[in-house]
Amino acid sequence: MAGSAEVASLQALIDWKASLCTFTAEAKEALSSLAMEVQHTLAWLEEQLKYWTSMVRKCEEEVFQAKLELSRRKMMRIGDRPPDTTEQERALRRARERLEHAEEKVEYCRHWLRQLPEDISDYEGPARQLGAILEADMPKADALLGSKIASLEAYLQVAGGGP
Amino acid sequence: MSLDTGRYQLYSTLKTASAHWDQTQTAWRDQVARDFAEQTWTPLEQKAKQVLSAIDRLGQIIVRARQECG
Repeated sequence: MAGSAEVASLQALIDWKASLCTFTAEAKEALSSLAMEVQHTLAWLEEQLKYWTSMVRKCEEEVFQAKLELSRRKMMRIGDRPPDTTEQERALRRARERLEHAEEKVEYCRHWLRQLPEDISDYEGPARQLGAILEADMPKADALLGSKIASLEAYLQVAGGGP
Repeated sequence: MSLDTGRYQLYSTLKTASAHWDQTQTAWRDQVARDFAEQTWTPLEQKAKQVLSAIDRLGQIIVRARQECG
């Protein structure tokens, strides 16, 4: 029958109202937790950039020292034979590899610090919209359900029946 | 540092509420219920699903960033 209430169980409506409240609260909490994690990730990237930048400086110093050691070794003369510089060359190669690795990490950090905010905004759009629905529409939905429940309770009282 | 906790919380609360709404619809079938579904619950549910998909995409990107910068 058009316009009439078709509610087989008042309790079902009361339970749904409570369930919607729980959903609203938990969804808001989840969005807050996600926003916090996103901020932690950006802060972590900043820290990583600082860390790898300091590693580059440290590795540059190690390369410098390794070159110095190699030069010193080359200048050493034992008899007519040139000195064995295998160890110093290996040390220099390793120092250069470590420097290259640290420089690569700095580049990655810079890349992600530029790129990640864009990727985050792809998430933040729908997240903000959901947040707005939760903030603005859910109290209205709760009020609507409350009024529906109240009118059904009033009807049941008049009708002398129970839910 | 991961989006898993928030994602799980949103997924889980949406799943519970969706199941509850399906159940409620069997007991509430008037025009107000139809309007409620069309104007309130369905848009909310769709938006929450969009957010879950966006979290999944962002989560994969963050994993890559962590691997490359860690």
